[in-house]
Amino acid sequence: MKKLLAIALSLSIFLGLAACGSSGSGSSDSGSSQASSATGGDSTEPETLRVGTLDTTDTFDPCSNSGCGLGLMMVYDTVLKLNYDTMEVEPCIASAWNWVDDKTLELTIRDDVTFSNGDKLTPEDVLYSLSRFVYENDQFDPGYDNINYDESTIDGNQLTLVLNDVDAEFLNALSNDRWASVVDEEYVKANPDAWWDAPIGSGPYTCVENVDGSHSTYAVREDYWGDKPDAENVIINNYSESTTMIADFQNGDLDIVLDTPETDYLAAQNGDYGDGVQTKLFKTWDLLAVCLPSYTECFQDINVRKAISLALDTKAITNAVYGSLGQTADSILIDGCDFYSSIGVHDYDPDQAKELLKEAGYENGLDLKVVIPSTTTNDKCAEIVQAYLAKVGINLSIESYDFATAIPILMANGTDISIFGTGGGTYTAASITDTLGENCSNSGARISDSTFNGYLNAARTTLDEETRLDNYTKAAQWDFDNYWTLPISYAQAVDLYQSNISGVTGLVARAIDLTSVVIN
Amino acid sequence: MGRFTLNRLLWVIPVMLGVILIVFTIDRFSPGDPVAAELGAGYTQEQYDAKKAELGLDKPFFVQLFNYVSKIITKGDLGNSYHTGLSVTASIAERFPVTLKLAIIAIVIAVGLGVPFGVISSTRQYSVADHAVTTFSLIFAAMPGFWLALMMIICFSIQLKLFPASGYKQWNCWVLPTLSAGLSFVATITRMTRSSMLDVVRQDFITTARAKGVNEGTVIRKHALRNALIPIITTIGFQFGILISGSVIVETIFNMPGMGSLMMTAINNKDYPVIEGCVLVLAFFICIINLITDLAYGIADPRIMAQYTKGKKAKMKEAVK
Repeated sequence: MKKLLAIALSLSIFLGLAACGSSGSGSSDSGSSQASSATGGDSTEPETLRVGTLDTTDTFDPCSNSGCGLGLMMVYDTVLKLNYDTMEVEPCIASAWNWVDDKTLELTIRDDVTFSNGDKLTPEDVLYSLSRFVYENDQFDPGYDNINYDESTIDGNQLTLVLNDVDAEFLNALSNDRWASVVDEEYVKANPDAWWDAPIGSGPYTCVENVDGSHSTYAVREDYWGDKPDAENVIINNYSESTTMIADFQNGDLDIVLDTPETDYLAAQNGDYGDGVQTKLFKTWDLLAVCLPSYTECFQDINVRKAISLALDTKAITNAVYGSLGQTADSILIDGCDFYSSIGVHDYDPDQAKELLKEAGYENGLDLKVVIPSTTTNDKCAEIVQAYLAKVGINLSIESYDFATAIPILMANGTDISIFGTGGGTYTAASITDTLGENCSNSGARISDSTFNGYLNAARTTLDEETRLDNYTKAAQWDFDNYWTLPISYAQAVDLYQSNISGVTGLVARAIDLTSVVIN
Repeated sequence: MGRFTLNRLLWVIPVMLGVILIVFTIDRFSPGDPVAAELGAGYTQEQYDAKKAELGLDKPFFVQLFNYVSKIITKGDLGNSYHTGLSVTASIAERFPVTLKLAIIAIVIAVGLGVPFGVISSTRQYSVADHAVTTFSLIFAAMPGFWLALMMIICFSIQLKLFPASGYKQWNCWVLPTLSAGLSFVATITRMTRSSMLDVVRQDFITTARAKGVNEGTVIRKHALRNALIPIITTIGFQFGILISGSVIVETIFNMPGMGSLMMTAINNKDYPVIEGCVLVLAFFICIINLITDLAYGIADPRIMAQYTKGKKAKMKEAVK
């Protein structure tokens, strides 16, 4: 009996281990490629591009992907495409476009594009892909709910989109590298649960495997309609710890690592990660700002707002939060975005700040609370702001919560001051100002003033570029003069890549265009 | 024996129901809003209400609990992740083997080093070997797990380039994670083996065995160690449970897609179905580990085995005698 039990136990452990082993070895080669090069075994084939990211790959549903979007960019084509060097919109699935009037856009859809399952891409697929954001997932709208789907028409390869309102940035919306992805209507309707591991797109790669929390692998499509990418295969490894990602990069197990911490950027520049390691800086398109909500009573007095502005040394805060990757903000629009113009940086004058607080009736100081979603940047910024405000007699208490806890508090006006990155990581002036204007659902950042919103609306609803520049500049100047949103920093993020890699380009560091990367 | 095992397995059912009730309640009443976590910073009340209804969180607590339990009982369905939409059962099925394998290898390392170290330490008390083993095991016990893991990456991966820092598909990917998980437990097992052995080796039956001329190795292995095994088995079972349920640090640092990293992501996202599913599966395995530990007592000690195999009446009679 004893022996039998011992044998049974041993057998169960052995079978368990064998089962665990087979679950891993039966699938992709990502783990093996990592392991082999670290141990000097079989090297990965040269045409395989290995990328490390701290983001998740997530689902391939463009409507609900909350990951880095790298996979979407490889598997799908977008309606139009952004040229990352010129920041101009270029043809893609739509080979040409024409504004019939301010609200009517004609798109010519290419007729030589097929999805990876062989289905032909049609204008119906394009219209369906945009409409999904309205009819199937109404949580987020990239601007496609402005399309009047009843009046939009298809005639051969011509897709005519009729807009409800003038939208100056509609072409930008159609070139968004994840939301403007075109899906196969027939396939999606027949396979509504295939978003994770069997997505069908018309892009240059097909997804071979997508293991949540680990990696995803891609193979180039031989029948791709456009220019074939250099890398035959791509492996995206998802990390939760940057130290491990950098260790793999140092070992040569990764060709590119995305969005690395500043310390790694400096180390790479010093040559600590080996000769020839290259770095590329990208704008994050986020504005770190201190927002003074109108519902906090003391901020109705402009002297209090101005005092807070004078109490903050934005240059020092920028340096402390972002180090060499930071840039002091001089406008609510982000340097580099369309219609940006430098407005100026508020002075740092704590003595005058104290005087203004005294004038406003707060000579004995002021108690304020800030609630922040806990991130390294937010936490660091809040602590430094707290220290600066303490110098002028403002006692700022910090409540840092995880995202799911902080957001309901912020939405319920539960913070006296808001500290967070606005801008949403997008490059258009409208998207950036959307996070501050009257339509912003975050009351902690919302500026309700009619003059400010008048400028924004005037800029948004005209196609005339001069008028738009004029109005965005006026809006930024108005905020500078009224101290509601105090811009602190623009940030940059950095990618590292090995010496044999070139062609690294993209809008943001965490989601570069892997189809343009060349392995030398 | 079979009856004992069956009895213990049946007890798992109320334990599981208790676990569900506790985890479900804690989840629902802890701070944080899964709807807000899904919608992000900008949402309208209509979007919030629609999402809440979609996730089934608009229903009363007891209705949610009943729906959850009935789905598990009738379909074995742990629900779908709020965040990814994936089946929780499928996600756990994909990730649990990684955690289980990590825990098994780590415990084998811990036992493989800890028990011999403990035996050496106890049979050569106060010798250089005893001090060396004690020092060695205490060093690893004193090292925080994450620090040991990072040091191993720096030393064996970056500097010596012997093993990869991440991955899970080839055998060499498992060396550093299992060592960093296992070495922390060597000290506990060593200390437990040492103290348990010291109790036993001083007893009369050991002296008798030696007086009868039994080989010293046999005395230690068959007489001393076997009699000292019960507390060691208890410790091993306990440590194995910790390894199964607390592998998050090792999995995070070595980038292994196991249960720990799944749970961490779920907790951050307030992804209730995933949290509850993971806790449920882990609790089940802890129950199984406890059962295996109890059965192992029987292998180590024939008296316990006799208790398992005899009927209740016989046990009662024995107790009366």
